[in-house]
Amino acid sequence: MSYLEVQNLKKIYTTRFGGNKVQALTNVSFNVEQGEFVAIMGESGSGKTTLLNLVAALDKATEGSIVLDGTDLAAIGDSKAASFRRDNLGFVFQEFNLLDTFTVEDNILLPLVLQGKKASDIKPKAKEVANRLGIADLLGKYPFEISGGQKQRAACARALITDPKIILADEPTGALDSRSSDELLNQFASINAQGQTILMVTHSVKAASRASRVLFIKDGVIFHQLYKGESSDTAFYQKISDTLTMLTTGGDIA
Amino acid sequence: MRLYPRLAVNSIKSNRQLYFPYILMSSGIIAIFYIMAALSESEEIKACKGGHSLVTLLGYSIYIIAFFALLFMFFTNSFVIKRRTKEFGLYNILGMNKKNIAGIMVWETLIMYASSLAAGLVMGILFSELAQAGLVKLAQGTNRLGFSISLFGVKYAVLVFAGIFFLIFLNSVRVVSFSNPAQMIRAENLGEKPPRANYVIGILGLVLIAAAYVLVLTINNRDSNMVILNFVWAVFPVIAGTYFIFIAGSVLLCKIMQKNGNYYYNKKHFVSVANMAFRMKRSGAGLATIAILTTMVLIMLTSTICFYSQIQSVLDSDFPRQNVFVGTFGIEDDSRKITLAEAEDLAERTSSLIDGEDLVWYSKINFVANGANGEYKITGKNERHDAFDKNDSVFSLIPLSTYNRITGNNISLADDEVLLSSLSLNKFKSDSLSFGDGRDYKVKPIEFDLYSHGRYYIDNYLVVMNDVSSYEASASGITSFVMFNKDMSDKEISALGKKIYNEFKSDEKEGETPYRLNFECDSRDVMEEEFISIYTGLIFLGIVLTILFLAATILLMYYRQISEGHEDYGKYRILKNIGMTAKDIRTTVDSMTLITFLSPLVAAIVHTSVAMYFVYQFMILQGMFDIRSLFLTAATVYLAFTVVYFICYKLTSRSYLKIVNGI
Repeated sequence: MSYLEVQNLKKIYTTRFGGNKVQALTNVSFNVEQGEFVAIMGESGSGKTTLLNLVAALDKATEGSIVLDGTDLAAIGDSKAASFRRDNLGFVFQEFNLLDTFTVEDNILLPLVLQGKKASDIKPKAKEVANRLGIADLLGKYPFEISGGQKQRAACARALITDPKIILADEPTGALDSRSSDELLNQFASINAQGQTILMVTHSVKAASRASRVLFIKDGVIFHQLYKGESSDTAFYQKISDTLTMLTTGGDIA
Repeated sequence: MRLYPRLAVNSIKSNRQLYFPYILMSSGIIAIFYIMAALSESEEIKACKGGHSLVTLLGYSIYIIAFFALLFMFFTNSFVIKRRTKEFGLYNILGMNKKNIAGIMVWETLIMYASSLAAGLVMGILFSELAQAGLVKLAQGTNRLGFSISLFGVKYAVLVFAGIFFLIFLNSVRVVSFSNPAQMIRAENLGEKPPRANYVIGILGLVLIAAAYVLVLTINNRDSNMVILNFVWAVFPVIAGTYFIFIAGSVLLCKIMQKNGNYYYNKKHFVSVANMAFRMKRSGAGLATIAILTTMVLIMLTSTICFYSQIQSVLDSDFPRQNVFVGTFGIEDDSRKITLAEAEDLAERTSSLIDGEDLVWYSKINFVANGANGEYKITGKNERHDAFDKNDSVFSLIPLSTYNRITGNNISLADDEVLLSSLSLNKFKSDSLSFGDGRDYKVKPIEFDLYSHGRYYIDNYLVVMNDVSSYEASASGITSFVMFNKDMSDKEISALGKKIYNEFKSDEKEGETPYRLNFECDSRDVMEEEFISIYTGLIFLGIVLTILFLAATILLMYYRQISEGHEDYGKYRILKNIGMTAKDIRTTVDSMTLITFLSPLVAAIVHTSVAMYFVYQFMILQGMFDIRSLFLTAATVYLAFTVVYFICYKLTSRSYLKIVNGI
């Protein structure tokens, strides 16, 4: 059994009155092992965000199953979905999604407060995570006072603080400049090196090249996958780039 | 040129969440305006007791309604426009200039005006009969069935609200023309620091309110000018103070809550407290407005209902008989003071001219004395004109013979004994009495009230003694009363007055200084008519303004919920993603809205309770002493208002929850 198992996933969106049907995912299957760093690539509309939403229990699949560490997501009721996310998943979004009414520290603490933990227990934990991500001196600031890169690191800290089974990242570098992107990806790599499982959806070849495996999704199916193996970041970058070119020009992969 | 009206219709439709309540409110106001205008020329109301003065009052109240209509609609509209700046910004960027936008606004305003007017007039015409029936019942007149449309009301509603909508249109144009498109699009959601707690403003607010409370609570009904004046002076600091406290104090409160770790880092409070810390400064003003409107409603309702309910008891104490003649006599050239014997003689002769049942006549000596515990000094003040000091009391003296004659008793007193009846709220507490003239009297308390008209709002005692003549010289006045029961019209009363006057006129002899006669004729019926017309008008106006204020309050609440809902939508989406359950969201929203909506109600109830002291003092000035009825009315009004308020809160907070849940 793999850590995350996605089997024959199908998602059809229906308009409100049952008129048009849009098939977002046709048949997606893949596994993620514990401690893996997997990137999912694909063009806009290829279904990668749909896939992430399903894994995040934000949406229900039409067919197929998702099992995370032995828990079938389909078996979780709507009312339990939120607490499942809170206790098992960590999120990093493109737009950071920090609450501007909270300081950085309170933003990081948010999931723990929602879990109902005590103030005295959780404060040291926020310090510890912030230290790991190098934002310890920003804890008292408000989101609008810090840069995009710092915001994203704060968001990472918020995702990490619950020791989630898996971190789901949706275009985490999408709103960052290249330097901040590099820094963030280094963080991801080091988090991953400490054993954290990460599933990342991205457009960016550079971001994907830091992953240990890249899945390519096109028209609702997993089209191809690449393992980094022993290759360097640059070599892997080249490989991904070539694959993407083939994908877009409609070539076949042998 | 078909484009503008079409765009206008579309934008009203797509903003129906904003415009539907707005049109509802303006048509409600137009309906009320029409009803007031229609009633102000209603023949049925004119036919009621005191109907003419009631109609005049209604006529004036039209202006009050128009004023509040302008105020409320102005605020509502500026809110609506603010919510639409983004839309106007988009129009602007798409190539419409501000003139084009104003063109759309013209049509929007016209549509709003026409629809509000149509709905309002229909409602007004339907409900005016009902309102008239209610008013006639309050005024204790008789209702006739009938249905009519007041052209006067229609005409004024059309004109006045055309003016109001025009002013509102001008304001909208002003708002849009002073903003630039980029700003308009970004208008919301700019990052900001949480407001700092401003101690200075908070403390200033507290000081202002404390000062106003002191001003009200030190009102002393011995000085009738002070009662009204102190209250009027207290109104402004209370309003300002309430704004300050809501704006600054609420931020401070949130800061204190945030400092308390175990309270703050609790999932019930975490999000709501942080949200409020940001919002209070901005919404503080709105909450303060709600608090003040609510205070006005509560005071108005409580006092008018309480006054109305006491009309009969005031009349009962003022009119032991249906008709009362009060005479004050003097000598024309003030060459000497009139004696009690002369006054009694005049009163008796007056009574002989009157044909009525339960006829009573008598004369009494009045003076003001200063002191306490049975020891007084006569001051020489005139109890009708001079301001009183704290320890002043009014004494009315009648001879034992008069007392025995009126009551039919045959009591005898020693020369150092008096009978004493306390006419005012404070009872006479001593068993001895002296006026500083070397005589000490033993007091025998009795319950006896001859006539309370002109009942003084300071301590007032009726004293019966063997011989009052030694106090004639120090009396500030000698008054005679003749009272009896008989149904008499105004004309009959004045005819009787004339008859009495002529009787004494023919009395005058050559070479003698004539009496100065000053006879007042009061009839319970006349007085009742006057009271009822005044208080009916006030209570009716109170109810109408309550409806108006309540509507404004609800709308204010509703718009607040909507705008905050839209602001918070993104926030709750994030929270949901992170793992906040639907239940947690509901409890958070509940605790937040409950605090924000409870606070104006609490403030209003505190303000009103303090103001009740003023109402009580004012009541005493009007000769109303029933404090229980005031308590009861206040409690009922509070309770009823709280219930209505909570219904409004429930209805509006649902709209917030719907928006943040993205439904």
